Amino acid sequence: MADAIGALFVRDLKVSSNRGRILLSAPKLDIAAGAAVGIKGPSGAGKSTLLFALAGLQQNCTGAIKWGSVDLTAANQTAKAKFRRDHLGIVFQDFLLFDELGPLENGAIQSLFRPKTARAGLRTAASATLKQLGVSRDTGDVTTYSGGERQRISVARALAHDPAILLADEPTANLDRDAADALATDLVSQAKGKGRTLIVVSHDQSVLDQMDRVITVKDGVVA
Amino acid sequence: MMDLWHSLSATAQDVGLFAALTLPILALGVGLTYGYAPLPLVRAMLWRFRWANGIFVLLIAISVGMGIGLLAQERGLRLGSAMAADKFDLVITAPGSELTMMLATVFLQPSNTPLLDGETYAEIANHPRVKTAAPLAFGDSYEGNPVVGTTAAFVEHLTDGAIDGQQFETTDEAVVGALVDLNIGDTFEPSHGVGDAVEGGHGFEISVVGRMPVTGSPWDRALIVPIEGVWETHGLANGHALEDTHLGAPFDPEYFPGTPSVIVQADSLAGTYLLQSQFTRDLETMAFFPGAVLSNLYRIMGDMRQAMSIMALVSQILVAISVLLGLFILSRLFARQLGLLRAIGAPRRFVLGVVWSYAATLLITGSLLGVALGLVASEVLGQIVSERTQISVPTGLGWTEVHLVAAFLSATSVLSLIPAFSALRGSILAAIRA
Repeated sequence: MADAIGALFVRDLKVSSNRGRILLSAPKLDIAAGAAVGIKGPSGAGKSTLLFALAGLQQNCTGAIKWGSVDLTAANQTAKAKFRRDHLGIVFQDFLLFDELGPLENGAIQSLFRPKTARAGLRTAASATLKQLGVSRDTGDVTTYSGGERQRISVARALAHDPAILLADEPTANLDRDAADALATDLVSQAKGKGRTLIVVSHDQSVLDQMDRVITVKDGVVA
Repeated sequence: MMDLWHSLSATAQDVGLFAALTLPILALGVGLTYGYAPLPLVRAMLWRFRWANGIFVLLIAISVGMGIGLLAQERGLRLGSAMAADKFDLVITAPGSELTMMLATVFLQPSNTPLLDGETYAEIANHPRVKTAAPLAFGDSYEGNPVVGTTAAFVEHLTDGAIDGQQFETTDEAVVGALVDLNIGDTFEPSHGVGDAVEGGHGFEISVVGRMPVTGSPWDRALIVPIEGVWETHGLANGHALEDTHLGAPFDPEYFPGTPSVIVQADSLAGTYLLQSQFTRDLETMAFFPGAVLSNLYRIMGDMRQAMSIMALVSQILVAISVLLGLFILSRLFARQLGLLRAIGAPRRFVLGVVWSYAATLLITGSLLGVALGLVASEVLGQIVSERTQISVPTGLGWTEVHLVAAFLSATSVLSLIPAFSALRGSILAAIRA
C-alpha cells in the first residue's frame, strides 16, 4: 500500500520564504492511501502552505514529499505538473472558476489539454460528477450560480479526471452552514467511494469531524 | 539560391515572399496549439476584456488601414496616370518644361504655353516616320469641362475607333468624353476661357454627335471638336486656304495659327525614338515621351513614397508596442485563471498557446479589419483624386499591401510570445492569490 500513489510519506520537510525564513516544518508525516485527513490550526500557522507543498505548488521546499514512489521535492516543474494532471485534484477556497464558461466547461477544463481521445470521457465524467453533486442544470455562465453550486463545480473539476488524491483548501469557508455541511459530506463520500486520499484544510469543525484523522499545524510546525 | 529566386516569375516571387512572411505565425499557431483545444479559454479572455479588446482591434485596424491605404493609393495614382498617358506616344512642343507641357497635353491642365508655328508643324507632319501628327488647341470650356480642338484621326487613335455615335465632320459637331453630362443629339455653347478665367459664351452652339468610351484620363471630361472650329472661333485662320473646306490634316503652313503641342504617332517604336531625337532642338522644339516624364516624376516622388512607407511602418510599430503592453496588462488581469491552469497541471505549451492565441486573434482580427479599412480609404481617396484630376485611379489590394500585413502579423505574433512567456514566470501560488 505504501507504493500506492495515494499514500503520502513526508520526511524533514522544510518550506522557506524567498528570503530564507522557515515557513513550515514537518519532520514526519505519513498518510495511508484512501485516508481522509483534516488539517487544522490557527490562521497563519502554515496549513495552506503544507497543503500546497503536498501539491508541489510551493517553492523552496527541502526534505522529502513522496506520493507513492513519486518524490515531488526532487521533481522538476514539468514532472510536478504531470503529477498534478494525472493524480491530483485541488479544490480552492474561492473556487477559481472561469466566469465566462458554464458548469460543464469549467468541470471538464482538463479536457482542453488532454489527448483528443480522452476528451469525451473526461467531459462525461465531469457531467456525471456535477449531477452527483446536485448541479443538474448547465445553462449560462457560472456567475449565475450560487456560492455552494460554484464550489461544487470546482469539486467536479477536481474529480473529473479521477485522481487518486483530492486536496481541498478551506472548501467551505465561503459557504453558509447548510451548504458547507452538504459539501463536506459530498467531499468525503466522493473520496471514500473511490478510495481516494482526501486532505482538507479547514477551520470548520463539522468538516474536520468527518475526517478519519486530524493533523494540527501550529506556528509553522506540523505536530 | 539567389539565381533560383531571380529565375522565378514576379507572381511566384510574391507568393513565395507571402509564404515566407506568414510562416512564423503559422508555425507558432501549430506549434503552440497542436493537440490542444484552447479556444474556449481564448473566447473567455476575449469576452472578459471585450472593451479593451475592441480598442486594441481598432488601433491595429487603423494602423494597418493607414499603411494599406497609403500604399494602395500611391500605386493606384501611379497606375492611373500611366494609363492616362498610354495613348500619348510622343509629344512635341515649344521648348519649356516637359512636366508643364505633359500636364497641359495629357492631363488637360490649363497653362499658358508657347506655340509651334505652321512650318514646324508641317515638318513634323511630313516626316516619313510619322503616322499621325495631331495638333491641339485649348482655351474654351463648357460647364468646367475643357473644349479641345484636334483632328478626327487623333480621336480615332484615342478611342481605338470605338466611338458611340459618329465622328465629327463639321466645325459645329463634337465628340464628347465618357463622363461629360451631355447625350448624343444635345447641343452646347462653348465659353471662352477655362476654370476661373471663363469670360462668356461664344454665341453659337455645337451638337454632340459621338461619345468616347472611358479612357480613365482627363479626356473623359473633354468636349472634342475639330481644331479648325476652335481657331475660327478665336478669329484666326483655320489651317487651310480659303477655298479648302476639308477638316484635319494636311494643314497649310501659311494658314496655320499655331499649336501648343503635337501628339505624334510614329510608324514604329524605333521611329518614335528617332523622332524624339530629331525634334529635340534647343530654342526650336522639345520632344518627349510622357511615360518617361511620369517615370522621372515617380522617381522624385519615390523619396516621398519611402517617407510615407516609413511613417506607416513607424505607426504600426508604435501600435504593436502599445498592443503588447496592453497584452501584458490583460495577461496580468487574467493571472489567477492562468495560475489555476498551471496549478491543475496544464502543460506550459498549453498555457502559452492560450495567451498567444488570444493575442493572435486580436492581431488577425485587427489586421483583417485594417485591410477592409485600407481598401475603403483607398477607394474614397481614389474618388477624391479622380474628381480633382479626372485620372481614373484603380484601387485594390496589391502584393505590397499583402506583404505588409503578413509581415506585421508575423512580427507581432512572435513578439506576443513575450506576454505569453511572462504568464508562465513566477510562482503559481502568487498568481492564484493575485
